[in-house]
Amino acid sequence: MSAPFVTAEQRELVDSFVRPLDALFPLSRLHASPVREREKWGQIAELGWLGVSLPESAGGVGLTAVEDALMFERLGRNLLTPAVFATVAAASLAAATGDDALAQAFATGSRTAVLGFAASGATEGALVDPGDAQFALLLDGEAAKLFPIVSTRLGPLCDAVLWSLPLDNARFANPSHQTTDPLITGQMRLLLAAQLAGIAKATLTMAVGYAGTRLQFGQPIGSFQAIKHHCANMAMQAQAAADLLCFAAVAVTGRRDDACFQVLTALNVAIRAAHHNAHLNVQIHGGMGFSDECDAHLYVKRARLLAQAGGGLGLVRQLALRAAAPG
Amino acid sequence: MPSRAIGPARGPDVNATSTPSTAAADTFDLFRARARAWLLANIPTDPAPSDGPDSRAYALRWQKLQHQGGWTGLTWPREYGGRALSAIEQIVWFEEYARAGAPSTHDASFVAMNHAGPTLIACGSAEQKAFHLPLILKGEVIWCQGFSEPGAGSDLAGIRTRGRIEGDTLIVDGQKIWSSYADIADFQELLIRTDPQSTRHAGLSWVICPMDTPGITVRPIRTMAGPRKFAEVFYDAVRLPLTNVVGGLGQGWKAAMSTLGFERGTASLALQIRLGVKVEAIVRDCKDPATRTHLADLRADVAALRAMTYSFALANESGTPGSEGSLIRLYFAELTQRVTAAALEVYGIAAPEILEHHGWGYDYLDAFSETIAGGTAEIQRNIIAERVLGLPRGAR
Repeated sequence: MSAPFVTAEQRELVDSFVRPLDALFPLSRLHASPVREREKWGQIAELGWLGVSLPESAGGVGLTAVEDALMFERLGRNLLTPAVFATVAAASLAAATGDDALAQAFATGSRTAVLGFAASGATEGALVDPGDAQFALLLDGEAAKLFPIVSTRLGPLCDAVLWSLPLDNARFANPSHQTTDPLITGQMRLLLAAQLAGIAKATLTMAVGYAGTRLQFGQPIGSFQAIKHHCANMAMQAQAAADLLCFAAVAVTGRRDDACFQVLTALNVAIRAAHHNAHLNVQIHGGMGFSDECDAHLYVKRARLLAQAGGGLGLVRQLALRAAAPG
Repeated sequence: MPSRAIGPARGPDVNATSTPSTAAADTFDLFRARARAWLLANIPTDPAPSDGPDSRAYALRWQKLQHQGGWTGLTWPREYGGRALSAIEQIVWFEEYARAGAPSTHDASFVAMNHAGPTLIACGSAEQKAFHLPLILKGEVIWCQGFSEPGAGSDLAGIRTRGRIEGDTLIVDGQKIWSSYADIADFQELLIRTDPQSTRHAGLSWVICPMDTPGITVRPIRTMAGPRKFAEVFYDAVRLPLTNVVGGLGQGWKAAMSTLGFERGTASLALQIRLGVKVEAIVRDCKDPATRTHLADLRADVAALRAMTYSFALANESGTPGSEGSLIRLYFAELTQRVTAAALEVYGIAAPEILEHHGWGYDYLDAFSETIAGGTAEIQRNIIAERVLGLPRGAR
């Protein structure tokens, strides 16, 4: 029976899972060209990050949506490639449709999935950094679908500049696995909310760090009210996103009636918190924040990508309005 | 192109106190018609390159073409190649310019046309004006700005790049940063400390710096939007003639405030008008009812921006624009960011409108600089509160 709230033990467990995160995936890696993050896939699999909430029978660690969400919040802070999310989501989709062998392949790293997105109901869309992945995962409104990449991927769409990852053209026809089970798609959206909450937190930390050290007019800029208030506003947003994320994760784990509502709401708040905080983080860094060399823009761009992966704020709002709110 | 005029057919809407006569209104109609026809026949069909020598060539070619057509320096004095027309004609030109989808005025010509030119007109000597203004108008030179330093952004008075005087020469040592187009520029408006005893605002000088002077090193910096649009500039014993000082030795703060006044006032006139055209495109393309409702507010705010822009331009036809410019600059900056973010919601990040060169995706990322460059939003709010509203300075 799951606890009605996130426990200290759960947090400590996730801490131990992600201990190597900063050393393995420092933010500085994202300024390399090309980014070679996917070369560490074997380590990601070994650390168990790909199967945290997957049942042991399907090759996973057998923990819950709470641990998964807490972990993805941390991975989100380091802007880990969306392929990790896509693979975890793909594993849960495979397991949900009875394909334990494929779920296990995803969890152990022998098969990978990447993120796709398309406008609501459209078949043409894009893949994010496909590399040599075998599958593409698409959250399409109330459905989640898995596509073999060989029949999906069309060709390069644009270079990495605008969104910090290459996009490929894609046609999403003939999924190999799909579901409209709201608990499954809800858990996927939960993990998106987690990463966005991570961005809200990481940008707050970065902004406060800079405001405390950057001197102008003979003082740290954090001593000026305007900057102070920005940081305070960012703190509120980050806290809201983090706490609601935990609430939603507990609701999903407990299979509560309002679980879907809580997830969609957590995603709504996390999207807005991430955009708000990432933007202010750029602003607080001034001219530096506008440069490519600074990390700030990386959070801005990833927040936009992750929001889109969930269908965009408009769709998230609509789905939430249709979901059962707490009685 | 819509046949219905976005702005009123007879010049912009002006209040009773400055209503043009019927004869003058006919003139504006004629001016507008000529502008529209010329733009239709002459705007480039290829998109502007983002940075480097190609962007220089493109900007100069377009400036030359406009000059040959008689469309540059509309409000500049005739003796330096301008047309000495009114703010109304300038506004009408920018309305037609925006409607025609002409290249962004925030290109490599921006500093020359909107900073250096107006500053020279306001503070320059006769020789400086006679030499530089025609070159700027004719599209023969690119200018860049050398104000900010790594340790002096919002606190511009903290600059440390210095010019030591030796006879009739200034010897410059130091460093500037965020100098847009420095790698392709011919001249730089350079703010340096020329009185070694001075601190803060006193003892600064605004100097014309030819970018091919020995001792200058330029390191381009990539922006978060992609292009290498600005740069660090290093000065190692760079020798400049004292005759390049603009507005008087030690009067650099006054000249710089004049420059920044132009930046906050009239420089963004074209962009502010263009925003109206751009927001209509999103409204047209947006099908989702919920988003359309949100866009209605943005559209209203853009209309308000246009009204403020016209009002300000008419009130500040001559001389350095007043502090009210900060109100418009800030309003425009934040509105641009809201509009470009809305475009992302309308189109989705993989849409062609987002991904194409100079599409909404580029605009979204580039717009982050609007609340930073030329005075951050936070500084602008202080200026509005203190200089426009007269509130006490107090603790920062």
